[in-house]
Amino acid sequence: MVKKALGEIATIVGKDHLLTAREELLCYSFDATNQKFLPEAVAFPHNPQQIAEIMVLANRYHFPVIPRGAGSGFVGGSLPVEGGLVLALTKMNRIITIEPENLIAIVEPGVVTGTFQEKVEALGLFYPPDPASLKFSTMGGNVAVCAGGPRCLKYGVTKNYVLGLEVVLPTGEIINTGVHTLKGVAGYDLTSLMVGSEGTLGIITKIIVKLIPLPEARKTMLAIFPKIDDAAHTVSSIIHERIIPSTLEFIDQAAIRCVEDYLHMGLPTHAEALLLIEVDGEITTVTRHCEHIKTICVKNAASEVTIAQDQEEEERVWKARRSISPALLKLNPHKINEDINVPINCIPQIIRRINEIARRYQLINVNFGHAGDGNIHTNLMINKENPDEEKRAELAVKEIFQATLELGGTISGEHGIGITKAPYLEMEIGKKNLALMKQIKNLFDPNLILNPGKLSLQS
Amino acid sequence: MSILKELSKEASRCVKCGACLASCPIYAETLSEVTTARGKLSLIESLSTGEIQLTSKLKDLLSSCLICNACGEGCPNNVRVEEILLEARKELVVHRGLPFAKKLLFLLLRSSPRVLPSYLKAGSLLQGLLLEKVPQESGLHLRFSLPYLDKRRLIPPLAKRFFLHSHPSLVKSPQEKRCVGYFVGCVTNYLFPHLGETTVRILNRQGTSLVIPHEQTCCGLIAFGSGDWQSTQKLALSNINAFEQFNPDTIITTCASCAATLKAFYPRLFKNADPETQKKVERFSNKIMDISQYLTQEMNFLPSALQKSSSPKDPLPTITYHDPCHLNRTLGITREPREILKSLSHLTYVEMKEAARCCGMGGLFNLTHYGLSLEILNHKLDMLKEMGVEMVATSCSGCMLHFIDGIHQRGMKIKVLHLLEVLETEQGR
Repeated sequence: MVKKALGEIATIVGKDHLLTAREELLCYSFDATNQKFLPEAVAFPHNPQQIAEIMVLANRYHFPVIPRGAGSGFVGGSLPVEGGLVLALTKMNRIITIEPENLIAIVEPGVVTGTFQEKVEALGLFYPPDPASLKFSTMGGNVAVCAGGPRCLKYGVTKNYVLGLEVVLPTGEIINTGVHTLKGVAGYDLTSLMVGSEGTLGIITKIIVKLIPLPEARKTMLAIFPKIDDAAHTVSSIIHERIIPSTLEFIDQAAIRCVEDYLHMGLPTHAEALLLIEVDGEITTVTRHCEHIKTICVKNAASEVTIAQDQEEEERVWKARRSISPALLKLNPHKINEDINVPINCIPQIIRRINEIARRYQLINVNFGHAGDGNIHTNLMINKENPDEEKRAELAVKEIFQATLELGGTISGEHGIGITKAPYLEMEIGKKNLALMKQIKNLFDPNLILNPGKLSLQS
Repeated sequence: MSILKELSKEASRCVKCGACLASCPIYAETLSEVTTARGKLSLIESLSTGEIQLTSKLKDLLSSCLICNACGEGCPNNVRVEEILLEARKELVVHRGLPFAKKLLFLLLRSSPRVLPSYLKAGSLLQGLLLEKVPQESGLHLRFSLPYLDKRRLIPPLAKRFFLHSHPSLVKSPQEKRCVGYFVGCVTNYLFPHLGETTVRILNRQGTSLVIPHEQTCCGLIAFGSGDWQSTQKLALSNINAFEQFNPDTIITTCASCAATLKAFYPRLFKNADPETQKKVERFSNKIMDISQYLTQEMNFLPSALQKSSSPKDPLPTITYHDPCHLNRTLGITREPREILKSLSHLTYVEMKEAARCCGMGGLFNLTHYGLSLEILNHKLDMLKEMGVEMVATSCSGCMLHFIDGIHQRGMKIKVLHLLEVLETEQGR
């Protein structure tokens, strides 16, 4: 279907910005889910007008259009599951303006989040959302899935920083939503509707974000707990004492063992849990909070608490956290990575239930994640060459989701729904909400051509 | 193609997370997945399943890589991207052959050690016909464009006397404490013989005599990088035999690319050879040492310890260091060159941001993708400009050539020096 329109698309974006060779298309057939769907063509637009013209063509010839940032999503949100045209937005990567006096910045969707953060931090400003992929994922992609990260606990997630958007609608109109100011309540909050819509309602072409002052200091500490319940209780205690760390990461025993096996950095493999805590703010407050947190940890039976004294020690601690991912692959070649989120005080319960489910299905599982906000990355380590194991993992995931919902949680804290979680969406939001979502989708995209096959929107 | 299946198996360890996008200097320019490591790895997988064939498009895509291995270093799963790509290129050559120009070049390289120098000798006499002198530069421009050679390019002239022709195979130090082999390399031999002379002078002064076998030839990196393992193996054996008769316990190099080839790539080339050859290659590779390592570790050479000047009144000229990929990522040498530069009393050392980012040379990549190669270099040049340094030192002849050309293209005034040349500026004071 795209074939008929190729000539016209080439005229719109320029033939140097259109890929059609099979070898090139293969490079756009995957994302971080490692699933594969071949697009029919890939176009690199440079401005919203080009995208608008392409959308008009898409409606005329009825071909799917799939917006894509860095292709680093974990749920298949940018995969061309029904073929069609991939719109790679990586070349729309200008930081249009940073306005320290207004505390806002305007960026194009292809700007890499980490690059943007470096730029604003050089001006003493701060854009906190920090998905693990920030060195390569894009602002557009982050907004489309409402990406979050460890800093969520103190600073919130992407949606807390998006003030307004420029969006090309599936029908080809260009609209502006939201404001250039720190508040604004005129009309329905279409900005919020777009944030997290996973590229199903429109293509984001400009993003207005809020900035805050860069904290003066930051300190990292590591606490080791022989018992997992004590670690969980520590998390609650810290928050109960009204200290909000900028990061509060949790690593379970299986993950500790993997990392130790991988790095040999002297982590105690007998410990059931490890907390990685980061505090930021004014230097005097940071020091005071660190001491306070240390006391809380010790009171909760931590066997060891270390406050990193310099950058080198800090780096050592973070290296452990970053190494979890490769270290896990020693257990089994494939991992199913879920990002369930429960209320903070339910963490010990959900971990116990996950471990019980995994045991019942005879699966290796590892848990780590953002304990401070209840977002647990539960990883089932499997070998896909064993189809039975894959089947068991599928059943286990469903039970884990059920348990999560029973505890008042959500099936996705920060990755989104895409295709991998689509079958479970209704479990969480219910028939009525899903029907309403479908109606909204139809209103925006009557021909259902924008990013089809995602979010369970097809009836 | 069982090798392809093997490669594909290693390639399939890539989970397509996208971390390689952050480290790839080519992706930073193209912003297209077709140039990323995960893209190339997926192509190798598709090739092994028969989903795609050995097309010229595929060859193009696999050739647009600097083999800088920044992606491999940053890969959370430690996928050996560089090894996979080099092996894949070899398979392409085995099944599809080399482009004519490369075939001719490598044929010339692997011919007897006398053939290439005699062609180049003629070249050095005739270069005035093809090339014109660039005013105020010690370089040349082509009078007209040639395949692979852009007219804009600043080409260093061929030396009037090649280094190997003008030195005996044994240069004794008056205060001999040690005797080591010296692998000269093509750039030093044909283009920058003064660099070889500097090496001899500095080492002689330190009590090191040098064995310089005249039968040594090109290290073979450009053939290896192009997938022509046969030619590289031939060159490797020529070099190994050339040094074997003198049997030095250490062989020093002054070029990062030669060092990486002799030390890291030769054993790979012969991994399927008979045990005896393997041992012979390994013995040779174990002897290879980069000059900065030799000076700091074996000679305890820290110049300012010898010659400490009083604190200067005027601010000292500033110098920074560019990490060659082959020294840094292939051989893990980063500390030694900095130690040397920091110890100099007549210069102020400033660390460059992203010093380990590839300069964009990438061997023949610079010929086949000249424009892109310069764009990649521009990041480094912008950095130098921002720092306001007067000199940039490095220890790879490839990087040097590329920096010299790029700085000329932009009309900048920064001096490009080999680490040893910097040393000589101090010792000459």
